[in-house]
Amino acid sequence: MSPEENQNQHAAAPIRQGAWGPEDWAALVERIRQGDPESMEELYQRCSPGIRLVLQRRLGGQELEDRVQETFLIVLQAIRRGEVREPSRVLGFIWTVVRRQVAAHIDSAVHSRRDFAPIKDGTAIYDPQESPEERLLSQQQRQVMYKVLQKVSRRDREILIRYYLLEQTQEEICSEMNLTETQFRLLKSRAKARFGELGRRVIRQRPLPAVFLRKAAGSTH
Amino acid sequence: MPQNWEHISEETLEQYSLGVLPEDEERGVEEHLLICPDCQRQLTETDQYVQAMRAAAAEYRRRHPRREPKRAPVLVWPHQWPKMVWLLGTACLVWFLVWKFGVSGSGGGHAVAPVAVQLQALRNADAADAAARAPLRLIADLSGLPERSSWQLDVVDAAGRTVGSFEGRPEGGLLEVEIRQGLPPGQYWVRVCPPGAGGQVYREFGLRVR
Repeated sequence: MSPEENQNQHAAAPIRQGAWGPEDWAALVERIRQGDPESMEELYQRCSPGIRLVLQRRLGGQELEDRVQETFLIVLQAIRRGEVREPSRVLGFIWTVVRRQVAAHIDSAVHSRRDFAPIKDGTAIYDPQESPEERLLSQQQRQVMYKVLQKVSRRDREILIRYYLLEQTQEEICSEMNLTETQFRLLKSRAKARFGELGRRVIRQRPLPAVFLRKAAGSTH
Repeated sequence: MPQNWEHISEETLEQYSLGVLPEDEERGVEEHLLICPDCQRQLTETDQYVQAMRAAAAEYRRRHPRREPKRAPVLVWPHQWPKMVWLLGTACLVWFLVWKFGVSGSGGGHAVAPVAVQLQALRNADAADAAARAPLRLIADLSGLPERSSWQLDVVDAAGRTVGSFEGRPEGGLLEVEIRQGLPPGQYWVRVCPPGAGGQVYREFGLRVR
């Protein structure tokens, strides 16, 4: 299956498991408002991974779990107080809460930097660095991608560099390099497929050292 | 904006990952991401891909700096000259050598037989002709002149300036002298006089060099 077919199939397919329509969300909100603990649990199960993902992308991993819990609590309280005006659009409400959390955190970070408080004893400092295992994986992926870049034609490489490194828009690249939108998308799809293919080959040739994995696992305790 | 129950396209996810998705589309994407494990996984993979591509592209650019477009060099070494320049230069050199030594033959080391020019002292006789810049052997008729062991031939141009003096021994009433470098085109007079005579001319011949 070509990458494009895969992409189209992905875009066209509905959510396979637990696909809910607006009426399902409205019913869930109603049950939560009435104080049903199982419905609260269901909302948490359905939404917390997504909330975590969006918060992590916006704010990083520091105090992530606390922020997820805080966000969920705000949502639950709002539902129970009947503040969600359109229960069928509860996802939009959750998204708004997440974005407000992000904005509040950024605002707070700006103020704390401005006031500059010295670090007290016992304050937890989040290490933004990747774990050794993640670092090795990133390194391997970078090497694979470098090989992909070396193997593609000069023109294709120029397009990929312009898009991913120089952050030129698709329109700018197509205009400057006389490309159609289809050519542009096809090239990107091919590069991604080649990356996946080479990546699988490299990982088969050079599996992660077992000792290293044990160390990484042990480091979490 | 995708509906909550429709998966996000790969293209849109990539734009979201790159941070270039238009703001009005961002909300729909994030709302869907809140509840779709498939798209969450897909986004994680896309993030890894974009990150790897960015790092690799940066490394590639570092190792292969972009070349500026070539400009015509102002000054280059001879070995960098195009073949055409060499061919043209060689042709010019050959032409010059042929012109200098092959045709005129005035070079010292080149043995070209001088052309004999019979100088006549007959009344109303035409001036002798000779080729320009070719070696000449002038043969002057001395008949009727007093006998001497040597005579001198002075060659003067049309303006009366002496361009060469040559001394020789007469044989059989004739005096032969060689002008190896030849003469430039023009009208000349060859005067017969005793060596060191100080301008006493016994006979004069016309010589036209073309």
